[in-house]
Amino acid sequence: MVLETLLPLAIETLTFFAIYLICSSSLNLQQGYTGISNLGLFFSISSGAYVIAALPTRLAVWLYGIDMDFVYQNALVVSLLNERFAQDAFTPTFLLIITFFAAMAVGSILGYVFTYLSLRLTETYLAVFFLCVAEAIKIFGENFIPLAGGPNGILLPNFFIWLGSYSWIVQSTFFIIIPFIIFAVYEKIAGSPFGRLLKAIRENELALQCLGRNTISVKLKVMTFTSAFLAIAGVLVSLRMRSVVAGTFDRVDYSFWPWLMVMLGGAGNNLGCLLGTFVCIIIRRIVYWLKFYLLFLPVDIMWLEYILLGLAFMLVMIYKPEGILPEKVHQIRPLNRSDQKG
Amino acid sequence: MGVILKVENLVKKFGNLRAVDNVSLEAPEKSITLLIGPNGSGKTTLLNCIAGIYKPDEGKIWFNGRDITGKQPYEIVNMGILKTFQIPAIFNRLSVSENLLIFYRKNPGEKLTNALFRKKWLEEETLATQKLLETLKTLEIDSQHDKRANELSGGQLKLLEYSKLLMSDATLCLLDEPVGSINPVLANKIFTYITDARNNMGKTFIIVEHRLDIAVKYVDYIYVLVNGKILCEGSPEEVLKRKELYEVYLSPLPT
Repeated sequence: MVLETLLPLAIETLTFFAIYLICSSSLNLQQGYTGISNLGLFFSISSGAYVIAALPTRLAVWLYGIDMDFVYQNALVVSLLNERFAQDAFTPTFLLIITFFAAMAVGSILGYVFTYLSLRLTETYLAVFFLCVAEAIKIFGENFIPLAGGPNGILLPNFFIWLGSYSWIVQSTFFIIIPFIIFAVYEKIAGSPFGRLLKAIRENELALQCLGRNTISVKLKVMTFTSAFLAIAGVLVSLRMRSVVAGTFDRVDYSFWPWLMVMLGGAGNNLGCLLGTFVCIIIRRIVYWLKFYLLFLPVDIMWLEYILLGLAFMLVMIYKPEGILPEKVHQIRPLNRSDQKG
Repeated sequence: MGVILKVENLVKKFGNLRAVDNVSLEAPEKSITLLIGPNGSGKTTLLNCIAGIYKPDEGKIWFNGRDITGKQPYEIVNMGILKTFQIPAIFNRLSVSENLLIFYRKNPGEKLTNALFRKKWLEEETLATQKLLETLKTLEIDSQHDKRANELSGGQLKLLEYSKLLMSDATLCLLDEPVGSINPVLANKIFTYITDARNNMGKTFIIVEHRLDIAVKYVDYIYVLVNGKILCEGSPEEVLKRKELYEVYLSPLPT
């Protein structure tokens, strides 16, 4: 009985954690390693969500020859599609794969373009630029109805429905495995000479140029491929919610929280980032479950999470600015005596 | 002996100030050229123009017969010109050994596509590490290899800056005060390395240095810069005899 209630809860929290891990570890590579202060992380994430909102369902409607408007007759179309998807394994899987690639393409193009436009900016100005860009995209998404249903959002069909009773568990595994693959890629990059180059950009860009590195091209590369992965996070979030509402991709959930995760865990350290993400998700979950017991507080409990977010930022900045697991000094292996034999 | 670097009528203005004013100079291959002059006379600005950090307003710079005027710093470095800085331009929160590995220029693992495959960069990384070990030993800072660069002393930082030279394969090295704040024994040693690098590896040096007592013994040619213009030039013996040098730069001669 306990297991039956706790297991879904644990898996649900784990998927939530895993998806946030993409956001925070991408930010860690951008900000913690390369020093690109991207405060508008959510533009890449929402670009993935817009792709899954606009592309696969339209394609499915076209493939099945359903003569209805996907946006304005959304609920009806989705229920029809769910019926079709239940008997057809190929179409939803195929659509999902297309969606992933399309999302990565759109995410990386946006990442490239906006980074290109902001090459001369650094630090605060760069952060503000990205925040403005992301807000502009959000406003566009909220008001341009054909993209993601505008202010009301749209529902998505269940792409895993053909799995029957396994649907939920397969879907959850999928949500957990993909982020960890992405995390492994980031960790691999961080440990390579390329990761070292990124840290050098953060420390002194001009000095690095005077050592023969094209730092601009490296920064563009980093933003392009992290944005592609962030777009995957957007797709996963939408699949998990089975809907896309442009307004939910906002600065608090998809920029400030990842920033706190990175700062709390330790910028420039992927393991720290993992830990920071875990701590933040657990705190958020506890607040979510317990807040209705806290009605006696003099504030509207709606805002409790936001208040805690701000408080946590201040506490981290004052007491632990380097994070729980600070960036390690990378040891060069052959310099350690035990390795010198080989 | 061919001319490796040629600067023609170079002008660099900062507002109304002509920091480098119509300077022309040549550096023959395998030579050590010294630039001296009072503070603010445009020596560093001249080096920065050659290295691409500043875009000159007028004039041309030729390197190995190729026009490099106004190119990006990284392009110029990749042609074979290295500049070291007066105030060490290093990577503070990286360890000393990581700094040195960054100074090593051609690691294939610095390409994103190669970074994921250890096999593709391990060999070059090992070579770089061997070079790093030699460099650390040469400069006598091998005990500091795992310290962060910002934990080093001022003199050690200077050595770290200088190690860029030992880790690189550049043919022309622009050194901005390489031995300022370094003890005389090591300073002489550094100049000995510079001479060795010239003799054995065929490198060319242009050096800005105030410590004439140490530098003069090692150099082939001297340019004296005052207010952005070349006051005089010649071999060390010639230049040190010039009266005007004592008036503007060294202490006035007793009368």
